[in-house]
Amino acid sequence: MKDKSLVLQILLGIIILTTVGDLIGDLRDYNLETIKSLKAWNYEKYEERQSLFNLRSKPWLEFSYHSLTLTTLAFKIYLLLGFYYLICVFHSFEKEKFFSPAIISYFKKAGNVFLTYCISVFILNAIYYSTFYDKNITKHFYKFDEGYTLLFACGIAFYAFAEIFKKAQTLQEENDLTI
Amino acid sequence: MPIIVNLDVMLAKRKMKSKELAEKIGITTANLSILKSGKAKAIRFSTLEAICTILECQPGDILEYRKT
Repeated sequence: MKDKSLVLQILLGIIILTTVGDLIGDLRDYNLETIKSLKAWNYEKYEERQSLFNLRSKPWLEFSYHSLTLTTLAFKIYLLLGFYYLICVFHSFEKEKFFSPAIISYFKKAGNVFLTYCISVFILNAIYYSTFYDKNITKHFYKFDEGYTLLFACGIAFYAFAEIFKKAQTLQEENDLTI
Repeated sequence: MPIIVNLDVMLAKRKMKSKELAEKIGITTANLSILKSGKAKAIRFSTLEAICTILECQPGDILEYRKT
């Protein structure tokens, strides 16, 4: 089990590094390309309604864009916390501690982080596309990662694991106290 | 728990020490202590059989049901 835990920890480390790389890429794009695009975009050209809320003033669009993007990036950083909890779980497995209250807590926390991230990104995505539903705007800007829906299933699975480990802990205790 | 373990009473009657009983049954003194203190969740038939054989008694002499 020690070797398997180590392999899982390494894989998780790679996932974390990929997420960090993704985050840095997003920040770079956010800083350079998007602002450039916003500056290039001339709202006066568009006579039709540009967004659900009909936000046509450039400062408002800029404000909405910046706040939405920064919130999304903040949630991505928050997602890293979920991966950290998973590393803690594998670390406990490495120490042959399978049914401890700490593991149950880590699974619940990881589930919380993943679910919160997915729900938040879903809401932000909806707000983003209703604010900037004109393709002339959205094609330049931040692209939401569609893979986040998979994390929702992972979050629910972690909750299920927490319940399973809770039951297993009770059974382990009963087994230990059977003379 | 309404199940009372009267193992210490039987040990006193047989003038036997816990350590000696634990060695004869083949369990640790720590586990015997858990059994004596009533912290045990369950007892195996094999353990009960061994205790009854060594102490020459019936399971009812060791275990008692007391309504709470």
